[in-house]
Parts: sequence; C-alpha cells; structure tokens
Amino acid sequence: MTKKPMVIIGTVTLVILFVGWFFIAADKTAAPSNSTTADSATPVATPESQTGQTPTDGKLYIGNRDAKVTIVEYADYKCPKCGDFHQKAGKEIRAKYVETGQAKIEFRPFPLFGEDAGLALYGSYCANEQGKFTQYHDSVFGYMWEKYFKSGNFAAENESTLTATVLSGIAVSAGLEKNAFDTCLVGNSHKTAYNQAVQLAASDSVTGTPTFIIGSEKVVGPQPFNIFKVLVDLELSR
Amino acid sequence: MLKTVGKLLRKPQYLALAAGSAFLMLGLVLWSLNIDLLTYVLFQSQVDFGQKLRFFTYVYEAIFTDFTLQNIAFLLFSILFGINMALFVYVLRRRKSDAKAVATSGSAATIGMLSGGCAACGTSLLTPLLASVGGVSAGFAEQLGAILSLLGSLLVVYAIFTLAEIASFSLAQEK
Repeated sequence: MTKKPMVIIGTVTLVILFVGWFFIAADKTAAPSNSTTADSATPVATPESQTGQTPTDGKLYIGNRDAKVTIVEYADYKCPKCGDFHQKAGKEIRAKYVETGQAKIEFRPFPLFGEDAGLALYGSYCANEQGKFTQYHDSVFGYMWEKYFKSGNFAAENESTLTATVLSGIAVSAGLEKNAFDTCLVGNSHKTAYNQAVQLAASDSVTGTPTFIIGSEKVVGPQPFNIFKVLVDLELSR
Repeated sequence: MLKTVGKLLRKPQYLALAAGSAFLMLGLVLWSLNIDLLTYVLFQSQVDFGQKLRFFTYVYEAIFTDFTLQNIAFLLFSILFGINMALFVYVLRRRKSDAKAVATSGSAATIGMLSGGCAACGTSLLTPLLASVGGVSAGFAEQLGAILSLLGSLLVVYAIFTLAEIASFSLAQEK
C-alpha cells in the first residue's frame, strides 16, 4: 500500500480536527447584557452577598454617562493584560472618544486573581461614592503596572498585593478621603451592586480579562486601538 | 537542511508561499480569540471594503511594536510554519510525501493556534482545560502562550528537517 492515501487521510483528519477544535473552543459572541440574571459561572473571590444599601445606579463609568457609545470593560486590577490595555489602547480610546464625550467606559469587575483582587474591585464602588472612581481606577492600575508588571513580575498576580492597607494608600494618592474609603471597604453598602456587576459576566459569556463589549460585539484581550476604533465608529454612525 | 531551505526560498514562488503562509498563520493565532468579531466585521458590518482588509491587519500592530516573549514566540513560530508550508508544497508537487512530516506539521499548527491569548487571565483557548486542573493560577500560566508557540516551533523544525531531506535531492538536480 502506498503512502499517498495515508498522507491524504492524515492531512484531512488533521485539518478537520483543527477546524473543529477552532470552532468549538472559540468563544461565541453573546448579546450584550444589561440583565442581572446569572447563568452558571461562579465568580472567583466574590465578597459574601449580604443585604445592604443599593445605590440608585451602581454602575462605574469613565467619561460622560450620557455619551452615545458604551464600551463595557470586564477587568481585574491584578490582570497584567488589563494593565497592558490601559497603558496602550486604553489611553488612545480615552483621548479620542471618552474625553471628547463620544463614548464612555462602563467598568465591570471580574475578579480572577485572589481575594485581594475582589477587594480592590470592590474599592471601585467606594471611590465612586466619593465621585473619584476614575482617579482610583487609574491609580490602582498604575500602581500594579509600575510596581510589578512593567518589569515583568507576573508572579504578583498570584500574591496578595492589593491589601486593604495598600488600597487605602492608593486611594489617598488618588485624592479620596481616607476614613470614608477605609470604612466603606470593610462595609457592605455596595455589595449588591458589586455582585450584580460580577454576575453580568456570566450573562455576557465572559471567561477572562480584559473583555470588552461594544454594541453587540465582544473583544477579547488587549487588542490594538484600531480594532476598537472600527467598532466605536460603527456605533457612532448608527 | 539550511542549504535546502535556502535553495528553495530563492525561488520567488516558494518565497511568496512561505511569506504568505507565515502571514496567515500569525493572523490566525492573533485572531484566535476574536474569530466571531472578525467574521462580523468582514462579512456582516457596514464597514467599507478597504477598511475590512485593513481590519484584518490591525491585529499585527502589537507584534511589531511590543517585543514581549510571547510576541517573539508567535513570530518565530509563524515564520517557521511558512517555511514548512513552502517545503511541503514543493515535496507534494514532486509526488513525494512523508506521513511523519505531515502529522508533525498538523500538530504544530494546532499547538500554535492554542498559544494565543493569556491563559492566566482566562483569555485563551486553553482556559477551560487549565481551569479543570487548577492550572490557571500556576506561575507558568502567564507565559503559557509563549511556551506553546516555542513547542510548536520545535515541532515545525522537525517537520522542516524531514521535508528538507526529501526535497534536497530534487533541489540539487535543479539549476
């Protein structure tokens, strides 16, 4: 028996397996979710849900809330790729669209890297309470980038780096009032809003960070600015 | 092996094939996590044709500006894969083949495709597998993409070696 049929069969089999894996494993785009119903996934490091005050909005925005286009971002402050995004494409997006009032970023927590990641993300709501969410957000990402990720220290993502003490210091440097932030961080006043935001990730079929939703399309990973530009421009033209 | 590859790539059609294959493979690796997005923009959106072509190429920007281990590994794997494709087509056109080389090339391509994204961040095709064995929090998870690309590169080198052995006799006879 010649080798030729074997080669053809082997090649075809590999191609079929390859393509099949590709389409089975690739994330399917989910319709953007504004619902509060969780499908299945249990988020990591979610603070215990307890009855507390529910903010009237409970959403975290960077930019003008009335901006036409919403860029939903699921992120974790300890995620190196999220930090990468904020150092590169994120800055361009904010300069071109957010600061000009054309788009806003709706930040949603997706804790991946331990309890302290959840704490840092919860701190976003405490900062929002003082009207300084953007400053806090930039300061925490900046802290992780400068102290760890810029030098390639990715082990930090698995260590307890964003303790309450560290977060308190970051909050003060971001212009927040220390006592109010510290009290909020250990309290329950924003637990409902936090848990609701985390659960939206399941509805949006988000499995990692950073993940973005613009219109009905999902962008996974810290992609170059031009990819976001096409999507935002499409939304602006609608 | 190097002499054979060099001889082959001096032929313009095979150089073009190698370059094109490398370009496409790199694109596939980089787009692996956003295939739905790519499909939407290319086939469903109102974006004009020129912009659609450019959209496919945007994903390459980071590779040539951000020289991380992962990006370098992606580039190396893609270039080797391109050379492998050129050799493969040359050997196939002369009605010769080697099942080992074919199987190795296919395995390398699959491994290369899985190397995209960030396993530690959950944005990787391997995330479901890793999560099931608690591997997402492992120290190496952050660099898993680079590791897989390098592994894929090793497999491709083996495939190139095997195909080059077959091709060397034919190439030596050609002027």
